[in-house]
Amino acid sequence: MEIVIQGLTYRYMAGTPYERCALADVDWTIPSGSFVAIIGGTGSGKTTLIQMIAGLMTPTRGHVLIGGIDDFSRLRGRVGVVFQYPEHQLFEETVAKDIAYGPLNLGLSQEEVNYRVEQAMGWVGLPRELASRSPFHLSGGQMRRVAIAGVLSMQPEVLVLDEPTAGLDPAGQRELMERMYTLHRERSMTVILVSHNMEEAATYAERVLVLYQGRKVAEGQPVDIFSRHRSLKEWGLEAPEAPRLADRLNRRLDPPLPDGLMTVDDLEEAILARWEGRPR
Amino acid sequence: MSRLNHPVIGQYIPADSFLHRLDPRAKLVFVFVFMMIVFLAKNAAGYSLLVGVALSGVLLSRIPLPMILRGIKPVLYLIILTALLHLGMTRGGDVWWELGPITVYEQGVVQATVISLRFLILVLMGTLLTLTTSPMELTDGLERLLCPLTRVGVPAQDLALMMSIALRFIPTLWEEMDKIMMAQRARGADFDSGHLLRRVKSYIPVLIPLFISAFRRAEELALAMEARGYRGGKGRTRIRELRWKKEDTILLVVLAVLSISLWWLRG
Repeated sequence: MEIVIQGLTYRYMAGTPYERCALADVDWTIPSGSFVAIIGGTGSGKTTLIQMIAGLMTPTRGHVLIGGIDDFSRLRGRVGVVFQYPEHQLFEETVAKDIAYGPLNLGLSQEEVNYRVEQAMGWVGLPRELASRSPFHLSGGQMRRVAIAGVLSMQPEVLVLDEPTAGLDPAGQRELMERMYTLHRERSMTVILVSHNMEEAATYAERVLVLYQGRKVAEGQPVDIFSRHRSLKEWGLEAPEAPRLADRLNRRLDPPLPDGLMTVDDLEEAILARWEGRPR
Repeated sequence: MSRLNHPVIGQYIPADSFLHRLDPRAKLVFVFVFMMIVFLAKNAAGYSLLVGVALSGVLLSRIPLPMILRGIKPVLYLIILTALLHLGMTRGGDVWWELGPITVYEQGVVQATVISLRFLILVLMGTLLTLTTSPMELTDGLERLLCPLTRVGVPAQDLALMMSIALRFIPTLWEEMDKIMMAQRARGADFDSGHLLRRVKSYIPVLIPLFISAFRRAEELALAMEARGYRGGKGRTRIRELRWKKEDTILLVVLAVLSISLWWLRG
């Protein structure tokens, strides 16, 4: 499902002294089945934007079309949202019951719900024996997985992830992102990632949208966005480590390393290739 | 859809007006006594006096009328309902109007007017107090007013602290609830349809996470306060000192004059 965003604007507390413009005139098209990232500093309007993509807030102006539909009551369950710290929304007695909440709201049969719960637990890597445990007795990382499974069990065609890895340890961060990426590939699920973590955006996203003070200031492939070091600084952002290091190496190298080294792995390979090809 | 779009009833509106500058103690005493003497008014003269005071309050607050009305709006339905009940139920005097089983008597109209007027004045004064006094000032004022009671064992300082923490966390919890509702809505929760029991039940997935987060916040706050050396109210100095000014004395004189006039008009 293609997502078309046109002239999207949102004002908080319109008509009071507290009025604040959270989002101004954002246009963007997200192709069906793509993996995109929204980046920007705190208060740049990222969360407001995804709330409107998910149909949870009505824009002050402009609209969001998902697969050509702008009536969100017809899109129930087709756009899944994992909010920041989703483990704070757990409420059921057992892990399985919590994951089943979404599918049950979709009116599926008990049999189908059970199947989906098991499937979603597999997707996020939760061992089966946790199904009957209370979600409140799990570790933080496991609680996060339960909450994400609760969204995935609705089998959304579009998955919105708002800072999904915040507060996880590095290994947990990587594992979660890899799992989401695999799901994206296998189910051709559109993924919209909102992140502070430039590494994540550079590694997984095909396209990146940069928001600054509620406005869209740049959009493009990570390679192009993350080579604009000066602009990034102005927006309160920083390129990931690999392109930054490559940039500094290139000041001393002739010929320079190839463009578009977004991840540490890419950079490592390029440097190794250079090392092996050096004149003896 | 977002709750953040609607200012909470009676939320403080910063401005620089006569009412804003008054000492919170004076305002608290005034509103407290005023709410009791409202019931002294028994005739048109008494009510005109009360309405006059309320309207001068509105003028002195320099808060735009629509904003005050917005604060009163939720209570307005209650007032209308009470007025309607009085219209239909109170008997006495001449019959003014008859429609099927409903008969409206003269006394009904009088009662409905008096009750709604009284109600309106009470709510208006309460709203004015909270609109022109920040929660901090309110608790400071209350603490000072309760101070004499510490001698008979009322923990005035602790009470004031509890109150300011409660007030401080209303918007936070409100926001939190908004977030949780949004998340559950994204999981297909429906808070607006079905019969009453079902609707109440639909809030369980909101209330449980909300309570858990409230407890977590409370624990964290207690820890943070202890870490910063809070050991109860004893010996604490304050950063904002309350200052009793000439205007505050004038306010209390007005209050006294008002009470005596109402007592006198009553006869």
